[in-house]
Amino acid sequence: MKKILLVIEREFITRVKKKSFIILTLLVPLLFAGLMLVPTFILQIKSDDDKTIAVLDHSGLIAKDLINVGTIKFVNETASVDLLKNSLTEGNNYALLYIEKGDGNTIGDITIYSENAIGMDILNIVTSQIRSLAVQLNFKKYDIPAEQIAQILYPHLHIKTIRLDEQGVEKESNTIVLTGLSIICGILILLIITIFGVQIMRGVIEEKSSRIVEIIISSIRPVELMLGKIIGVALVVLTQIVIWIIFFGAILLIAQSQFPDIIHQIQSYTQDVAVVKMIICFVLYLIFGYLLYASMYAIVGSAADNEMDTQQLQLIITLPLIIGCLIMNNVVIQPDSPLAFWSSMIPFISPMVMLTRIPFGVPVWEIILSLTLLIATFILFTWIAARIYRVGILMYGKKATLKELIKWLKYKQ
Amino acid sequence: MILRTENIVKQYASHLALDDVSIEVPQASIYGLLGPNGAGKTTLIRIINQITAPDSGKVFFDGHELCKNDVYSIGYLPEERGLYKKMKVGEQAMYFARLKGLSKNDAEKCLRTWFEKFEILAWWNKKVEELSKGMAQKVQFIVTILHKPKLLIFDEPFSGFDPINVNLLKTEILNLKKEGSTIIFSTHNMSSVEETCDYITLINKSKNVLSGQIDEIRHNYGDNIFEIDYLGETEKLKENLGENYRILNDGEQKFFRKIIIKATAKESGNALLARIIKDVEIVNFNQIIPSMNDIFIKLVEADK
Repeated sequence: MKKILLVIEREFITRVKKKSFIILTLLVPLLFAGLMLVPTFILQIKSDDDKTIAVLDHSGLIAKDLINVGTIKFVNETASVDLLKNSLTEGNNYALLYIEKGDGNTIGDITIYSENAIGMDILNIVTSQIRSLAVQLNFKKYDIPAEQIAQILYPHLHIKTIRLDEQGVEKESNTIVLTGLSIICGILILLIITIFGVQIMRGVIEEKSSRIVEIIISSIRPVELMLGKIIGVALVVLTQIVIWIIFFGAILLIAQSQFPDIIHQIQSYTQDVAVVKMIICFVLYLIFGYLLYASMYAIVGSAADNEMDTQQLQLIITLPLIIGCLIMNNVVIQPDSPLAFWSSMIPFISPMVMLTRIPFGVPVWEIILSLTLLIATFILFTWIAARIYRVGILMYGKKATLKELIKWLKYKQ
Repeated sequence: MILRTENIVKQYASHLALDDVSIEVPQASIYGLLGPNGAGKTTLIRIINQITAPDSGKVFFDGHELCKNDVYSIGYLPEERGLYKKMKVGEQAMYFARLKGLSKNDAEKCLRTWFEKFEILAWWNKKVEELSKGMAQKVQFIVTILHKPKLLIFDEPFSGFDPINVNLLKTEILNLKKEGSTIIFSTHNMSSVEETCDYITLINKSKNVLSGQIDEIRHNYGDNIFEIDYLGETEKLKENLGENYRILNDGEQKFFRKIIIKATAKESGNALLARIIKDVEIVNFNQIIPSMNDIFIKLVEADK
């Protein structure tokens, strides 16, 4: 027992010390935080700076109705165009809006001058204001009651999607947020299983091809070595996730004090998702899903002398993962279909499929049944893996086929 | 006897790796396991290390049938040296030492002493992938002997070492024997066998073809060839040798005369001396004992 702890310690420490682990651990939360916060942050920085747009309106129809929006300030000017253009290059104003007089009482050509290329957002604000003013002018011109037209064109509608939970309490649901969340969870599980599963496989191959295993086997049973490796890597996975959760928590806290509005908006989207249930299920399915696949990757590693030989057997492992992915897409569209139910019971794909379903609400008994099946399969596969592994790691020089693996399984100690 | 194997048979899918192999390894001796490539040496070593089990036959260790706990009394250095490439030398040595049952403190103390002895203490914090093959082998050697096992098994210990380090290793192996360890090693290097081994077993085509004390074997495999330097008349000498001896080389007739002869029938050196001593003065008398190299080649070739 003490020996298996040594193996776990080594597997854990060598992996956690790796540069790639540290980089991945730090980079992922920063990346997410960046994606969430940087755009708004940049907006905030910009807002400190007022942008004055000089308006020279020869038609006399627009300038008086322009409204300052956020940082954009409109200032009426009466000087000549050339003078204003000159003062623009001296850096006094951000832009110059020049509206010419048209025939009769109409708006002529409109030109916007600026020293640097004018920002898309500012251009949008300016043009939309001018356009709506022009529309109103037209209404007046043809004597059309503007309010009635607006009511006809833009009827006031509010469509809500409401979901009833088990107690019959109404909850507002946001399908887009739910879909996004479930796909992210499913894919995260898939990624972690494959990335760390392959690490197990590589570790086994390294020990086998360098004959390290012959030294270790003389001090520890093969099963202990295999379990030590799988558990060690599992701890790495957990460490990474815990660090991520802490990071996210910290980032959210910081964000809450800095940008309360944004956080409030995010909270309003996710309020009907059972966050705690989601996190518990995520961790459980991740751990047992990982353990199931880790033992399969250990089998593949023990059957090969180098990574090139593993492709065929790896395919057998990746196949259910790919199928799971395909089903995931379907489940997002129809979270309550029989396909969704049955596939979330099949252990090889249930971690992904069930996680996809959970944001839409899944009865607890289904989760318990699916988890039980998953754990039972994981125990069975670990047992199978241990039997194949102890033979495989000492077999050299030939590429083992599935048939041979089954033969090894039946070998007596 | 610290180790005895009885009628070991090991069958792999397509070929018989060991066929009824029995060896007896006396306590505190150095035992050479010889044989051409693919003869079954490594399989036998793996069976002794309980890496794989024999199909039939038994192994006895230190008076009892080999059991799982005996692995702590056996140190094994495999032929292909296994070390984690990405791990630091010191950490790795500590890991293996602790797997062998040493406490953290003992492991570190022992390792530092040995690293100093082998002049590799400076590599403690280097990664294994930065080391040369020979350097890595030193590390492995230390890890193997660190827990002072009763029995040490080295598979091809000298391959990959320069002559200076081969000597260092030989000295350490002899020291270990002095301290009471028993050493089994497999090798192709026959001169190292003659220098260090007390007993040998030659395995060829899965069978034990020759076992015993090394001097006895060399003596027994002698072809009764004698080299004699003498003073006196060659003709008289030849007369005395008679039909029983064939002259292989009638050497240069300088001041001492030299002759190399081979007995056609088995006759002891004493009997030969008695024949010739009355007519010539013997300066040098030497029975040519075959080297292990010759015996090895002779036996393996004869079996083809």
